[in-house]
Amino acid sequence: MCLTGQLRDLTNGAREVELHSPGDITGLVGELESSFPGIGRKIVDDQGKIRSYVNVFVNTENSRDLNSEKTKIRDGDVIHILPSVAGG
Amino acid sequence: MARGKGGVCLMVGTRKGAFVFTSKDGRRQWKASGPHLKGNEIHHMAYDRRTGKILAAISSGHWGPTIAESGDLGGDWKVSKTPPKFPKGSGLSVARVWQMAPGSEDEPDVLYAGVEPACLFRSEDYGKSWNVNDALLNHKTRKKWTPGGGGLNLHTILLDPRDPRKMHIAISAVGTMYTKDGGASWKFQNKDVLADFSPVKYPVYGQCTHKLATNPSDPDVIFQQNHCGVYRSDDSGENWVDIRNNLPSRFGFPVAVDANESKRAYVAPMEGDFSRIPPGGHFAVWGTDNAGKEWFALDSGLPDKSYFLVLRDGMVTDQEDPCGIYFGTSTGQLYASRDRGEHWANVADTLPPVLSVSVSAL
Repeated sequence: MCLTGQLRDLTNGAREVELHSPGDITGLVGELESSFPGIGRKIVDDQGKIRSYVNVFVNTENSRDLNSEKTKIRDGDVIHILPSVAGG
Repeated sequence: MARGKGGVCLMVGTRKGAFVFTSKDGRRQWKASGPHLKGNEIHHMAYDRRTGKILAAISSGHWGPTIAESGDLGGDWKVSKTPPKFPKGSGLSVARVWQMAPGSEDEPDVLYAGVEPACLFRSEDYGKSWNVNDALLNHKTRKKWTPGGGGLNLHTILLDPRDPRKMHIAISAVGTMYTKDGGASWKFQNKDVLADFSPVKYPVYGQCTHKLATNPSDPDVIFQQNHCGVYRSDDSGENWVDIRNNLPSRFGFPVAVDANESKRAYVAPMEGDFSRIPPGGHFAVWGTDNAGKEWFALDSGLPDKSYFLVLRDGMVTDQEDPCGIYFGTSTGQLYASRDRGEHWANVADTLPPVLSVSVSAL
C-alpha cells in the first residue's frame, strides 16, 4: 500500500508498506496500527469509520464507492490512503 | 510584583498552528516562536507548572484531533498516539479537544480534557491513556443536549483548588455542571440563567454558557459570560445574578478575573448575537471593580475602529501584580496589558485567526 507524506511521519518515512491478508479496510487499519502506533486514529474515527476527509482507494476505486470499511482487499490490490482536496 | 520570576509565557493557539511568546523583563518585550504544529488548529494550550510542559489540544481537518506536549516551550513537540477516544458502541467520536487542564498538585499524573461532542476525559498517567467520564457519557439528559454555534462542546474545566474532587464544567449549549465527587455524578447549576432562544426561558439545562472564570484565591465567586448575559455566582454556582448592567452588549465569549482582586473581572462584549462584531465598530475590554455592578471600557491603545471577534478562549489574565490581560483576535492580532487593562500594546499583528490565548508564570 502507498502512504501520503503526512502519514509517513509515523512509518519512519516509508512510502510503501506491504500488508499480509488484512481481509478488509478495517483489518488493514488494524494491521497498520500494530506496525505503526498512532496511524490508525488518523485514518478512522473512534468508531472505526473512515474520516470524512480521508480517502482509501483500492486500486483506483474509492472505498466509499465500494463497501467503505468493509471493502474486501485481495492479494495484489494496491491501496492508497490520501487526504481529500478540501476547499479551493 | 512579578510572581513569574523566570518570566511569563503566553501561548497562542491559531487556526494554523501554535505560537509561544515569552517575556523576561516584566512583560515589556516578548520573544516569539512559531508556528509550531504547523497547519493544525490549536484549540487550547495549558502550561502545566507541575512538569514545565505545554499541553496543546490540536486538530487537523484531515487527520482528526489529538493532544501534544512540549517540555521546552514549543521547541520540540510530542504528539500523542493515544488521545481521548469514545468507547466502541457509544456511536460517538471525538471531533475536537476544546480544553486541557492539568490536575491538582496532589495528583501529579492527572490531566483532564474537554471534548466535542461534549464529554470529559481524565488521564491518570499523563496522557498515555484516557478514561471517559461515564456519568457525563451516560447522563440521563444527554439525548436532549443541543449544540451551540461552535458545536456541542465541553469548553471549560474549573478545578477547585481546595479539593480535587470538586469541579465546574461548562458545555455549549447545555450550561454549567458541577461535581463534588470527582465526576461520579454531576449537577446542573443554571439557576436564573436566561436561555431566551428556548421556549422555556429559565430551564434547568440548555443554557449557552460561553465561558466561566474565577480567581483561585476566591473560588466560590464565579463569573460567567453567557450567550444571553453576564452572570456572577457568589456561592460556587448554586445561584447566579445577572450583572450585565451598563455593558454595551450582553453578548460576548470570554470572561477573565483579575489575579489580585476577585471582584475585578473583564469581558469582551460583541454585538449579539448574529453580527458578532464589536459594538459600534469599536472593540474594548470592559472591566468592573465591584463584581459587575458597574462596568467601564478599557481601550487605551486599542484601534479606534475594529471588526474582529475574540473567541471564548481568546482572553486571559495572568497571575502577576499588577495583573496582565491578553487577548487574541479573529483577524490575527495579539494585545497585552501589563496594568489591568489601563494601557494596551500590540504584541503581534499578523497571526492566523486566534482561537485561544493562555498564560502562565515560568
